[in-house]
Amino acid sequence: MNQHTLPKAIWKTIVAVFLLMPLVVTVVYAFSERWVHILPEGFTLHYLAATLTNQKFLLGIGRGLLISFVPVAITNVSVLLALYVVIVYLPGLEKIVQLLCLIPTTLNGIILATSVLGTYAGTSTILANRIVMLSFIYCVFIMPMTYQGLRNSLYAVNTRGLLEAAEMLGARRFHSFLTIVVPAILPGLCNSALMCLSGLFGDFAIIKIIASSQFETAQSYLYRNRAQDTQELSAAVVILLLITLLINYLVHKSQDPADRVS
Amino acid sequence: MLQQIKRTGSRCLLLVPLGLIVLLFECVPLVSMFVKAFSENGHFSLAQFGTIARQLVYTTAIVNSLWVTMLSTIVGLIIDFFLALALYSDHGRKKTLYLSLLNLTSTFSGVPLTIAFITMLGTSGVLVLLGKQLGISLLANYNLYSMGGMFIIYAYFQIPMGTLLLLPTVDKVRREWKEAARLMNAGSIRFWLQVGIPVMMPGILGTFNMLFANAVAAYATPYLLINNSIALLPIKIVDMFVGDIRQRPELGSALSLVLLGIVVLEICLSNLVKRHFEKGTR
Repeated sequence: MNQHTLPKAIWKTIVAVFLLMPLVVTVVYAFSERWVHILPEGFTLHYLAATLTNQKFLLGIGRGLLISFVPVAITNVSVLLALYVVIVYLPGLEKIVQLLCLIPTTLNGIILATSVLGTYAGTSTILANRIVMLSFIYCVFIMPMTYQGLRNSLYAVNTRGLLEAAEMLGARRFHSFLTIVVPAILPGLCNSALMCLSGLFGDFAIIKIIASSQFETAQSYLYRNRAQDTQELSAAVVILLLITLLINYLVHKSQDPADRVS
Repeated sequence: MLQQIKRTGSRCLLLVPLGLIVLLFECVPLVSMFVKAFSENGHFSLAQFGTIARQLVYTTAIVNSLWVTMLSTIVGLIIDFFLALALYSDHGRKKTLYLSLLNLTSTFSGVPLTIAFITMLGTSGVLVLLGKQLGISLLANYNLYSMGGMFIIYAYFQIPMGTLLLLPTVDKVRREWKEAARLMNAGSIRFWLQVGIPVMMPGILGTFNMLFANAVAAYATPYLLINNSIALLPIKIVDMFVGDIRQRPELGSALSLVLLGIVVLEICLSNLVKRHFEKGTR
């Protein structure tokens, strides 16, 4: 076995260096005064401070988090309600719900966003509102992941059995669904919801197509200021990365109690 | 009886939110996209597809997209495969640390990743300046704003995701099989070619699908780097709907259908191959 460990270690090191390089360069760039020679010169927090006090960027982060959070909430609630009906009362419909929820996996953001834009733009309905459009495109975009996460959780806790037992004890089904099943699947729900949130927060394509000028998120802010001072830009990238890291940390934290339940 | 109907009605009410979202933002837009793609001045026509086939800019966009997607998927998959294999024999802390690195970099994508690469390899990027000072022409003359130069970013975002997807598949190859193969005098390479890879094939193909779908729809990276100097399918589609030039939603819908067709065709082909390998294991 030992004869193979050296090439493996070399390969792992090469890939790790390649993966870390852009991260390291960005972080060093954000914290150094200038970098025009071989080594960066001077350490400074100036660019980080400038970015952190930049109101437009902060507003962009806030908008980005908001426009990611709302669709995650809408999708989770609507898929949860539909799965409740389908699992408990209408198992015949399960295949149809599954198909409809999984179709978006083959539609990428570009097809989804352009088809919705082409259908509703210019109509004088509420659907022509760009923010409404964006929210619901995001809903469809994260539907496959939400559906799979919720479905697995609901089957793992044996929803039907739990509800039947509760009914025998005299509780109403929907009431016990809300008070017993939903809390039981909460860790799994949070896990998939946070993953969707992190995915939406990093989106650029859909927002560019639907509402690039009306609703500037952190991603579109970065794009608009791409020709600006690279150091401030790097600081902004570092901040966005830290936010994504935080969300990911929460994903891992939410996974732990799930393990304990099962 | 009446109560029964009332009850069924209230249950169906719970299906309404999901039903509305799916109907209004999935079904109707998809149907409307099909209708637009096959129409010209309100009549059924294949004219849009004719335009795509005739005009060089669209065929080039399709070919370029296919080229960069296929190549980055294959290169990514090869890197991922060997990385997953190298991690297969690791345990404990070392592996956890590497997995954290993969998790961290898998979230690094889109605009931030592209900006990081511009900082590194752009016209006045750190590595380019370094290359000029040290006389390394490969770095000094690196052109990030071209298909070949941009390819490095495509390869970058394929690595963490693909490896994370492949790892559970590698774990399916049991260590006892390897020992058994060794007892029968089969070397490591022969073991992987004849046992390991065929067992992993469904997982490898699943990963291939994900990487392919990921690369074919990549928008932020090419939009930031090459925008319209080199034709790529996603950029052309978006231009038809929101571009500065004349908007042509019919042609855009037809191009969207081409993109959808590429994805669906790829999934069908990989399913065919998968079936072949699953037959072998039965």
